[in-house]
Amino acid sequence: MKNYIIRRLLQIIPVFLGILFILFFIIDKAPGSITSNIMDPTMTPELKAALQEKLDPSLPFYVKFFNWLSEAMKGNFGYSFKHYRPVIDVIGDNIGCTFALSLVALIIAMLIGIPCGIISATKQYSLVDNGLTVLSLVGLALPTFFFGLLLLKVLAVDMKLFPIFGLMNPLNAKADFWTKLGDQAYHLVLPAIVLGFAEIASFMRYTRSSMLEVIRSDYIRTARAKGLSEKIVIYRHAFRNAMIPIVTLIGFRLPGLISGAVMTETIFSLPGVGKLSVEAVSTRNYPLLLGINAMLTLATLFGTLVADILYAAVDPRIKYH
Amino acid sequence: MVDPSPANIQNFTYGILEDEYYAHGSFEELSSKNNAPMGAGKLVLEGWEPKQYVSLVANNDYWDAANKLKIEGVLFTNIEEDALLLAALQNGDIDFCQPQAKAENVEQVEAMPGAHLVSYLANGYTFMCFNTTRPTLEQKEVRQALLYALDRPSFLTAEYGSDQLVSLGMAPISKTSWAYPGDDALNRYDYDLEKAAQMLEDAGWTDTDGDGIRDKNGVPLELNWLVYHEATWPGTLSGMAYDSWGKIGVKLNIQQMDFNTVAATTMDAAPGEKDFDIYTMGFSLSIDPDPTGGLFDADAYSAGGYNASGFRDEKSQELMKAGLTEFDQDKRAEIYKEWAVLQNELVPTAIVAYRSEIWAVSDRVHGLDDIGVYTDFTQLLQNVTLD
Amino acid sequence: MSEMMEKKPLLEVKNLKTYFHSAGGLVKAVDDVSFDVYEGETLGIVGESGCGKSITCMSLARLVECPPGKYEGGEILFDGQDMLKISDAELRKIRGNKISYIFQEPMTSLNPVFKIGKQIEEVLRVHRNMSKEEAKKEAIHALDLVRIPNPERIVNEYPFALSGGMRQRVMIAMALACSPKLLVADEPTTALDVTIQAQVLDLMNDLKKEIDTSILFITHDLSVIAEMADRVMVMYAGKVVELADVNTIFEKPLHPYTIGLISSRPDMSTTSDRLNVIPGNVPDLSDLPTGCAFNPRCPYASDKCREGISELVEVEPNHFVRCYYPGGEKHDGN
Repeated sequence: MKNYIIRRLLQIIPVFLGILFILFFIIDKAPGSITSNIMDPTMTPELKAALQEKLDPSLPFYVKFFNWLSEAMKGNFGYSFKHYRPVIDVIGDNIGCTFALSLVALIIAMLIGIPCGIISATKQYSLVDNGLTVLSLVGLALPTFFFGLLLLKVLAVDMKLFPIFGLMNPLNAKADFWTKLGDQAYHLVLPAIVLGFAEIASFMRYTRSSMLEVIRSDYIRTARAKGLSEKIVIYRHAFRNAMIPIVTLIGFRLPGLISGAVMTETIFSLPGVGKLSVEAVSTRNYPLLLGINAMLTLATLFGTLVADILYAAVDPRIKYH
Repeated sequence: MVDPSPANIQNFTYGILEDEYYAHGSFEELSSKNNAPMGAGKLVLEGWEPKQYVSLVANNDYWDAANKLKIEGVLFTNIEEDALLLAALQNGDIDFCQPQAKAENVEQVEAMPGAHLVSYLANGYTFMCFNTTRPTLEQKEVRQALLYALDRPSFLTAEYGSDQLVSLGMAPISKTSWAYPGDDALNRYDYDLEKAAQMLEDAGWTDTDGDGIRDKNGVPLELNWLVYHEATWPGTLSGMAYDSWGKIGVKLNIQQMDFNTVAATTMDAAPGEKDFDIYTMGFSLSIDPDPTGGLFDADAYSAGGYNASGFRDEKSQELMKAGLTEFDQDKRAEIYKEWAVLQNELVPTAIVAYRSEIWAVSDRVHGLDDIGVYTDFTQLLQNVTLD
Repeated sequence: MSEMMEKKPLLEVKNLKTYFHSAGGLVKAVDDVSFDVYEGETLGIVGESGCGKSITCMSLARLVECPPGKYEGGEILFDGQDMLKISDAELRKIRGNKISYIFQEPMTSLNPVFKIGKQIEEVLRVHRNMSKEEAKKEAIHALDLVRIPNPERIVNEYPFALSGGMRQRVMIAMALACSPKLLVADEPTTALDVTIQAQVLDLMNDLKKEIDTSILFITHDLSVIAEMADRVMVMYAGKVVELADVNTIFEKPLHPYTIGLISSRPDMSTTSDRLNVIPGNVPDLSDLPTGCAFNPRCPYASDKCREGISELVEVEPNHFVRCYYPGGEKHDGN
């Protein structure tokens, strides 16, 4: 297993570079230039051209790529003109919030979705099963935008139970660590619910179908014939097998923890990576775009590796060489 | 140093800076000072988080103790969603904000207890630029006809709701400026389909092949209009034009793209490669009415330049230069008024509308009601008090 | 044979009815089945697929999936209790403890993600309240009993490391770990190679003597029945059609179906080119013929057979047949 992991890690390097190359190519060839978003009447055309040359020199493509790559390996992803800060700082500002939000949403989704899926499977076709199925489909179909604004209107604006916007009350900026953490958690409740709700649905459906398949197995019949309680049969014998595909699902969700959620971040005014990356595209902020995408690519590559490792960890039949 | 001109005053964008603090060897070094500004004013930067908030507190060591700030400080919070601005105001989370100038926002603020509305005509305009290098658009009669065939007042009502918030555009000088010639001196191009059709006929554009589209010398009167989706008004206006221009034999192709692509195609492209017939955009102005280097300066017709229409009129260029050297304000005003009337007639780029801006202010704040086109709220903070 | 008369019935099944309700109709999988199992004996149940033998056995510990199944009537008396009426908690105390099962497919009957040792220990800890260490020792002993080499190593293996024959031995070990009174074996060797099959059957016979358990052995293979069973019960279309000791069944079958079964076995001494077959097919249980279900295929069927069906009659001592014409008397008339 150790050899396998080392091999996979080594494989990540050329794949990563290859993807970066393609990314760089696409961004370079896309219409629009890095300075076309700068509308400053006092800037003369000569100055604008000079800036264009400085930010995006007219060198051959592979030279530009190599320059960017060598700087990136030193940790310098360039400068974001719009934010007046280095790209790495801009990403750093936003990633904490995105990660926290997505992690909480994922945990909520698992804690609710998986048990509901088990119940749904053990009571197939009952009222409970049908009810949960309908609920999960609603969750999948409901647009984030609509659901978020609805929650905001009812719980934040009308009932004043939650804050309307932001990650933290700025007046708490000088408070101690725990007060700040509590305040941030309080601000993340509604966004996490909105984000987690759709995910609950997907976990529930996966768990349900996996459990249904497992429950029909011969070894479950054996477990019952041994005189084990139904609870042990379902939650130990059946679920332990059913969770194998679910665990790999979690591995694939890991990159999502840092890719952000544009709609949710916009509605709740959270400083996240999702909105940042969308803005980077529309403002042609190439250094930032490359930085974010490089990070996402790496996260995805690691995510698939983690999924494979988790798979081997829960299924003793799987052995890597 | 540049030549003496009354317009030079707007080049002073920074305050007085300490030499040692801002001396730098590289661009990165200078830009890092953005995170640690040197402040000597009435407010001091206390703390900030990117995309979240900026907190400024009153400077107790201010040199002019008698004129210190009457309030403790100012907190700027970032709220991404326009719809939530007013909810936050009502909730008491914020004291004032600038929502989008839409009729529904005006209504909401006026109905809100504990808050009031401040609105004013802004310093800028939205425009419609014609590519005058094209055979279809090089005659001023054609451009004028197209304007006569466009019901702009209906468009304004449809797009903006109330006409409190917007007024019909006519000349490229802000309505609020001292250089504005006054409504009576300008042609409103009132909606008149028959007049437009007649003008096109007289200009030599007739439907020779019977396909419903006028043509001249084998060139059909077919136009490409670049529309971006980041704002709704270009879509609304071009949609109306498609119908009404169709009635006078002009075929319009609406091309949808994003803002950056429009900018790149129209302004960044080199002369001769600017592939468009019409595009619409907005423009905000500075205090000084000098139009040099902007949309109407023929010398700004280049790759990356702001003038994409390619129009050159010697009288117009002359007037612009004259305005730069005349120090007497009244005489200067006359020069610009003449220039504005000229542009209103030639319309290489037509002005669509002048828009307003609105601010919603909590009733507990006193002293911000004078926000206006030339008065930023930062200048008013001196006299602001809170209940 | 006479020893049997002195032994008490361990299990008494009286008029058991297990039906299945589905969209396709009502299936009477087990239709009024009665039989006894005595201590220390092996009762073989024989019949073609779909005759109801598996469902009969699953019903004994209420292992049938309900819905769509339902226990419509009858009694199953075991150890002084009616298995159909006791509570779930009581039932669980009996399963794996007093009545154990081994199933047909060893490849899928063990949980793939738990170690062998753990699966056996589970039974011991639930029913004998053993500690982990005790259970582990006992599990190793159980594996040894079923003649698995290196039981200390096997205890830590996962099922996928074992062959089919080995896995079936593990199933046997698991089933016998708590020394049950009755072992229900539902076609345990059908999925195994012939040579392995012989070893497993041999093992079962030895263990039966060691642990003094009764075996209910289901199969469709007559040669296995010959080797394993003391008495044989023949089922057809959800009913018992013949019940007798093993020798009688082979030497003097009386029900036309049994006669057909016995004579259809390939016989080395025969000179004919073709095998004897019973004409026709096993009926669809949701669409049975009226009267005796076997009548369309029976050479001796009469109108009486098409209208009704006989009771299970003891035509000679300890030999029961459900037929109007036992022995297949040819008769005239319709």
